[in-house]
Parts: sequence; structure tokens; C-alpha cells
Amino acid sequence: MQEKWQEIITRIIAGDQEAFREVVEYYQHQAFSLTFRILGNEEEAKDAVQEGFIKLWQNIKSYNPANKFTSWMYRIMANCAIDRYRKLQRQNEVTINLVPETSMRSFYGDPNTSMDNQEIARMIRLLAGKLPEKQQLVFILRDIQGMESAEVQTVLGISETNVKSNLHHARKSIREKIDRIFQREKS
Amino acid sequence: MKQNDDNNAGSILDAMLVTLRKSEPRLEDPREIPDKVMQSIKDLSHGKTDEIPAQASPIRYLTYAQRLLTAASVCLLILYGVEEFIIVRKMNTLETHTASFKVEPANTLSKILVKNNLTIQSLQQRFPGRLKFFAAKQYLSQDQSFHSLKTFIP
Repeated sequence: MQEKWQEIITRIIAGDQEAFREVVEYYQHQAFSLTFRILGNEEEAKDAVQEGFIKLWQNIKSYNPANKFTSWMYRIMANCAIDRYRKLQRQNEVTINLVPETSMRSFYGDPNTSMDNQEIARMIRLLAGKLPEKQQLVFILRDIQGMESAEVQTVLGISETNVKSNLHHARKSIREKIDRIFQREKS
Repeated sequence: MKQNDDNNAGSILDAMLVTLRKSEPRLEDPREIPDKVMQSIKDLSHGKTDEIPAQASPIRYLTYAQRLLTAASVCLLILYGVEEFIIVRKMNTLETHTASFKVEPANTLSKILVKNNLTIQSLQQRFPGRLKFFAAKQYLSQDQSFHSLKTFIP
């Protein structure tokens, strides 16, 4: 499998567009999953993926085969998504709380239900929406996307200590938030 | 009690994370992104770059103008600060300089002489005799005017 991808990447470096299409088709779901979780908007996430793949094509020669291809790809995708997120924030188009906190109970009712894109976005915004940008990103990548700590470091370009402390603060703030809502619902 | 609440919040968060991890965002049309990407790449290789446009919105220009104005106001503030500093320094120097002059009768007398366009010689001529001259000099030293002197010393 590794050899197959190695061969595909060699073909892409040589300028083979069909080989690149294979890569896009294979990795688009993972890339979309990441950008959507960061941006919380389908169209913006698709645009970020598209932009990311174009950047990947343009910079394929700078890819070091000694590193994991997915980490490199995730880094490019995450950067595209972060740039878009900042732009949306500047234009005040990121709605911090799309749902009232009180309706949180509806989300943790049944963990077996699968949510649609809209619900995923609302839930992520509800949990991480008010966190500082770095904490938000670390929380999304580590706890929601399920990346390893080392991969989060590579994608965000920050140290291990930074990842750990941001994750700790993010989880603490979210737990406090949940606890506040819980108390309010009780009283 | 607090510990219990923390545990509750923790388990709710865990449940929410499980749900979120299970729910992968879905692409409705899996051909859309590859098609667009390939089209963009083809356009790029043919020298067309308008597929990834740099969005120039009026907000962007407004932001530039805002930044420019902020920079200009900061420059003006610095300029006024420096000017103020220079003026205060000059005033202080002047004050120190003037303070070094003592208020002596001779200085007051010379001021009156200059003010009335007189010289010591002309004063001596007007008030001949040593005692009369010194009385006039003494009177003028007390910052009296030259015209009132005429009534003081006939």
C-alpha cells in the first residue's frame, strides 16, 4: 500500500494529473472532514479542500517522503481552513453560538445516533465556539478528529507542551460550560 | 458535590465526543471536488489563474484606509509629542536663563533708562549736583517712572 502511494506521488511529481486525481478522490473525505470540523460550514469547507489540493499540487516537489503524506496533507488543509476561518471571523460571519446552550440536552440524548453535517457543525460550535483559536483547533484535531498528539504538533506547527496545555485548558473550559448548563437545567 | 458535578460534565463531554467522532461529515457529491480541482489545475497549467481568485471586496479597501488613518494619527501624535517636548525644554531653558538675572536696582534703573530713551549722562545733566543725581537714581531704582520723577525732584 505504502509502495503504491509512493509510486503515485512519484508520478504526481513528474506531472501526472491522473495520478493526482486518484489522490484527490481518495483523500477528499478526510480533508473535508477536517476542514468542515474547523469551519462548520459545508461550502467554505469544500472551498478550503479545493484550495488545499491545488496548493498540494503546486508544492508537491517540497514534500519529503520521509514524512507521513497524510500529515503533510492535513497541514495544508488545516492552514487553508484556518485562513478561511480567520477571514470569516473578520467579516463576522462565524456565528459563535448557533444554538442556545439550554438545548444541549438534545445532543447527548442518544450517542448511537449519527448526526448530519448541520448538527455536527452546531455541536462543535456549541462546545468549542467560544474558546481561543489555538485551544479550539487543538480540541477539534485531537478530541474530535481523533489525531495523535504528534500529528497535531505537525499539523499546527506547535510544540508538544503547547498541544498539551491548550488541550487541557480547552477541555476544562468545555467541562465547566457543560457543568453550568447542567446546573441551570437542574434548578 | 463538586467532584460529582465534574464527573457528570466529564461523562457528558465523553458521550458527546463519541457521537461526534462517529458522525463523519459527509460529502454529498464525491465527484464535485475532484472535478473542480482538476479543472483548476488544468487552467493553472494553461496560465489561467482566475480559478482561485483573490477576493477584492470593498471591506478590504475600507480596512486598508482604516489602517492608513490609524498609522497617520499615530505619526501625528508622535510629532505633537516631540514638538511639545522641544517647546517645554526651550521654555525651561529660558526660565533658567531669566532666573539667573537678579532684580537689582541697577537693572531696574537701566530698564527705565532704556524705556525712556535716556542715558546716564543725560540724567546727570537734568539733575545736576551729586546728591540730586543720586536721589533721582535711587527713585528710579524703585521702579518709578521717569515722568513722576519730575514731580519728585523739581
